[in-house]
Amino acid sequence: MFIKSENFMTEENIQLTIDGIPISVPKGTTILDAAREAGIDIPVLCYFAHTTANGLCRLCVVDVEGSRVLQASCVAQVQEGAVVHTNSEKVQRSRRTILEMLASTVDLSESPELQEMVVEYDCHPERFENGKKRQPEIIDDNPVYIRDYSQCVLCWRCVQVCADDAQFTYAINFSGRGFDTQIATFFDKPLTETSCVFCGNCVGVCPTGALKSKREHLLEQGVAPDQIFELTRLQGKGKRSIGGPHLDRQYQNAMERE
Amino acid sequence: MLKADRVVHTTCPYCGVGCQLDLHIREDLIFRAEGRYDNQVNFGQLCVKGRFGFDYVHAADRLRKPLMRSSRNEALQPTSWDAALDTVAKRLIDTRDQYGPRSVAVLVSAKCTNEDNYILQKFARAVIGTNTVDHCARL
Repeated sequence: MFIKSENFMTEENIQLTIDGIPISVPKGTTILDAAREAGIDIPVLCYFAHTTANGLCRLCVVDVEGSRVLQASCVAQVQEGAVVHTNSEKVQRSRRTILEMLASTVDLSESPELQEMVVEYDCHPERFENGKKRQPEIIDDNPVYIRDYSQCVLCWRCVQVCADDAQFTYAINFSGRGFDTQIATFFDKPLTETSCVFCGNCVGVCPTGALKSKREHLLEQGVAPDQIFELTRLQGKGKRSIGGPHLDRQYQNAMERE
Repeated sequence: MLKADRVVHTTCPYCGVGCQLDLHIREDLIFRAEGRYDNQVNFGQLCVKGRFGFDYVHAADRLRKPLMRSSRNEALQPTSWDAALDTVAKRLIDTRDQYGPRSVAVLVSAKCTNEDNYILQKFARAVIGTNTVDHCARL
């Protein structure tokens, strides 16, 4: 949620060690927050400070000594006496594989942070060269934003802000399973037929170029600003003509004379 | 992804909430509005108007000067702000003097700040002398 309840130190702090640095944080803190407090950077993809953490992308996994599997640090809470390694060989290999699979199936050309990570973790997406790619068509069904799910990394932020994190509109959600999972509306209806109110909060939190304002999209395609104006207005509710708002003839003449 | 030449921190002009936003500008053209997370007003959220409603800024038929006509039969002519405001002030005072302060009512706007609204009600009460002041947010 956007407003996080503060932990008022009613209980004693928890002591743990992250990458050899002893740190003391209040109970309930996630390993990610504790690490950031200690100045250790853990890479994240789906985690966003202003939406609920779900541990979906698994990029933030860390190695907690004694635990069976790697823990997603954005949701795993600190435990007394834990010894955490944020960049062990096992963790690195896990992150590398995730990034390689993402880079080989999804178009990451508009997510510079992810591209940096691909380089940083020495990824070789060409390992999965002949694998299936996610290349759905761009969905352009409304005058304000486009959805290009070939760039979608399924971080779930858009779904969350559409639901309980901000707008409470519930217009979009996951659809399909496994590789075919995609963010979609109810029965893949156009957005204009759903409960969407076009607040664009999903566009605001999208970490890639999957959700984009239509004007921005057209501008990138090299459409002239004047033409964008016409296109977006024409696709609206039809109240506006190409020339803009209906004006008094006299009034329009006055503007032209000016 | 388009890169902005400059990013301007501003307040949304639509309603009285005052959401904080960043306007991304490229070649003097606004192409994106983003909510800011560093405030206690909107926590990064925006509505459809704040996020997508900046068309009017670059609209070709946007009013950029006051228009005035001396009678209803004439066409509107562009004029200066000084001339327009002088006319409005003179006509308001004439109306007040001729028909009394109760002939004027003031309607203020939810798009204005508290200070703007305060000064308008002050104007209605102290200058015009009427208490018929209302606000469009009273539904």
